[in-house]
Amino acid sequence: MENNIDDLVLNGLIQELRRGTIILAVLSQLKQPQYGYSLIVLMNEKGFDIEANTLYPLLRRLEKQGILESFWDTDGTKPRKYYRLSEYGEGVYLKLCAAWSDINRAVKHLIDEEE
Amino acid sequence: MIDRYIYAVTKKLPRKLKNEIGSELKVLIDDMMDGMDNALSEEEKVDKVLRELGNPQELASRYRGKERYLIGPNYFDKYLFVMKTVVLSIFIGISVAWGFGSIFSIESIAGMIGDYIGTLLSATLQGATWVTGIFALLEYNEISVETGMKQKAWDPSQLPELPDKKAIISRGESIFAIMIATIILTLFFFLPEIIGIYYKAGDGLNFIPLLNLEGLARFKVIIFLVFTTNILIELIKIIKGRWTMKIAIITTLLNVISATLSINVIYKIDIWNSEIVQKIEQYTPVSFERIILITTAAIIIITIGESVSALYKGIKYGGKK
Repeated sequence: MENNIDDLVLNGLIQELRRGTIILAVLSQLKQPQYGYSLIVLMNEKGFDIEANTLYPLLRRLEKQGILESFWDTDGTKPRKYYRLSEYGEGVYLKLCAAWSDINRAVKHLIDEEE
Repeated sequence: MIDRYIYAVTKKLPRKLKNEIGSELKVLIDDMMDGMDNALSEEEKVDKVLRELGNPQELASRYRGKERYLIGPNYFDKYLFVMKTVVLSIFIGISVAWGFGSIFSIESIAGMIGDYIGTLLSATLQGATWVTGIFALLEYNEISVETGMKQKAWDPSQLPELPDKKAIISRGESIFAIMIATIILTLFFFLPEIIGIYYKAGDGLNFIPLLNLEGLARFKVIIFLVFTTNILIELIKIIKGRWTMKIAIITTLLNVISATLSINVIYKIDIWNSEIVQKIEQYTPVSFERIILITTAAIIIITIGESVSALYKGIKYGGKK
């Protein structure tokens, strides 16, 4: 029982840690247009698990913020909404990457210092 | 099942997003099912996919981006406090008024109790609705209870000053005032027939009603306004908790409005019972008009007194602004 609770706490913390990285991960895969489901599959293949109920609302939000642009493809049997980085989004993505490596470096430094 | 799920997600989303999110979800569910093991039956697939997508309400709130509240965490404490005060005052006010009523009324006790419960319920409901409505409006427009303005980015200068002890508005006084107002309001509204002059005549108690019920009926709205204005003043004071210039000005303004309305009403000869007018003129040296004049003067003096005291406290403790 105690173990379960520990797991629960740990899981929560890991989720929290991951949450901040999701946007960066998603943006990294959107230089080429993708629709929601293809993006999930693609990211899962590369080892980053993301669920549809997180990704779909996120894509919409990023589009609203102007980071992504979208178009509908109605040629196939199923109409699909494709997303890709906008010009503005590309700039944002690069800055996020820089911020990420700064954080990474700093945290790594702190962790290594501990050991 | 799929349609039901999509409906559950989209039904509370803004209309213009509804269709798009709906068709997007439909294709997604379809894709997710295609990506599954073919050994599963159609129903099992649907079940699995929907479980994965999770609670439709949660998904909808993610699409919406922010949680929606009728009364959110910023307002909840104040809301609860005001609600308690209002409900308590109404309860006590009406109970006391009805207590008086039952002493002097000729009606049967059972009938009185029935009426009492009915009044209590409807008044409490009214009060609760008003309080909730006002707070919901504040929440919706994100108006701060403290400043009465749109909430802005927080800045240290917004910190309230440490109140001088004398600047704190006594809650007890305000609650008492609300109760008194509720009692009188209840009497006027539900038991106007028992307001009057009681005097000993021989063995029994004799009674002349003070008010002309038909005349009174036409002014009920104004009377209601007078008392609700007074209750509103006290509520504002309770919420704010201390004297400031703004509170002083609002109090004064509402006081003046309330006084004007009441003077207006007492000058309407219709609302008085003509019998009592005659009796008074018969047995006392003062004319009825005199009495009204004196009452008017009293209202004016009290209003001026209260306003001056409010403004004084506002200027003294409220600082600038």
